[in-house]
Amino acid sequence: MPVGLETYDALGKVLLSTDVLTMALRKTGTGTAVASDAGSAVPSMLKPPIDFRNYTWPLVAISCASPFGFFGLHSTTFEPRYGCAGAIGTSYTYYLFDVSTTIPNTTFGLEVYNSSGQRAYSAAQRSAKPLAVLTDNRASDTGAAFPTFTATGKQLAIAIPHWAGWQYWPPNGMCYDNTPAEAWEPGIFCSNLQIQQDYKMLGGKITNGGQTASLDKITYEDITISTSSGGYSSHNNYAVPLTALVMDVTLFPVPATVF
Amino acid sequence: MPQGFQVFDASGNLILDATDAIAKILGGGNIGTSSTGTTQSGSIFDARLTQFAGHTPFAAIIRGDTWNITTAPRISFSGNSLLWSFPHATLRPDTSFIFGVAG
Repeated sequence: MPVGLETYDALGKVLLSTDVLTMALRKTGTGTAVASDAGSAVPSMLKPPIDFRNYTWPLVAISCASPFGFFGLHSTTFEPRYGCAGAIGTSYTYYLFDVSTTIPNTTFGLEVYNSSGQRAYSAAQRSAKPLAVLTDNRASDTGAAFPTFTATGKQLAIAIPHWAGWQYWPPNGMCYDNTPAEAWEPGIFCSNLQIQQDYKMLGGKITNGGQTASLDKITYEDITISTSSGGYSSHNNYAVPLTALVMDVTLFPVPATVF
Repeated sequence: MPQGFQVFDASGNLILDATDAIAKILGGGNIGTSSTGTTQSGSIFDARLTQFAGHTPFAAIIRGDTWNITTAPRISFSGNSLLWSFPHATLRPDTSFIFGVAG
């Protein structure tokens, strides 16, 4: 960096830099899971009341004990929706961050600006502090353990910033031509074949009194198709990896509109 | 502290320390039919993606109806490049995202 400010820790890792912008806490609140309006098997949905149109570059972190994954923005309210594995009524807390350029000027303390005159950091902001980045890229329900992170004494929330998951059609199924049903493999004729789709969202959850963040799956649409072996053609399988941010929200006021 | 940088709130709580991690936002992008036309994939070069040691790149969707796994854009990182793509050549939902590094 030829000009500007940077602060480092003892290991040389950059904390602040005038080369980048940061995220400032804008709003927090609590809610409960409501009925899902997407996915035939999603038990519930989290709908924090945040109209993304009112913010410049919003980023939402949520603390919820049941696994939840980002579904998308509602097409008319522009509020984020999260498929949730918990029952309707499951409680959660949300934390909305927006880019540091959008908060008011302070009357005291440190402000850092970049070369374009944008506020890169303000001492008045509660910053988005990611303690860990958790990733998962499985393409089917392998049963492998999901990544987890614990910060003793901290209160954590997890940002699931994009849709992630998999849609997998297994090559095998069950044939119901006889009783009991038999396992079916390609090449064997079956007039009453059932194939179980494996369709999951990838998301996260916060447990252990708020101190542990984990990735997890949420059943999305595990439909069963019935067909004949002659009518079962191979399907495309899809997988979208997840990169999630584990945020430190210790001492953040709830509920609050910070700016 | 012997050296470094700390920020306190009005109640005296430490809210930022030199040893903390902080999300650093590098920019945003618009992709999809309205923005990138018929292009199915592309990239954004940003040298800052690897400028900060110990940081991990991330992206967050801020606009767009991305719920369908068969059409949702895929965003990944390779060195100084953000790579985006749509799984279908003809289905490219308009999507906006931000990207940055965490650490």
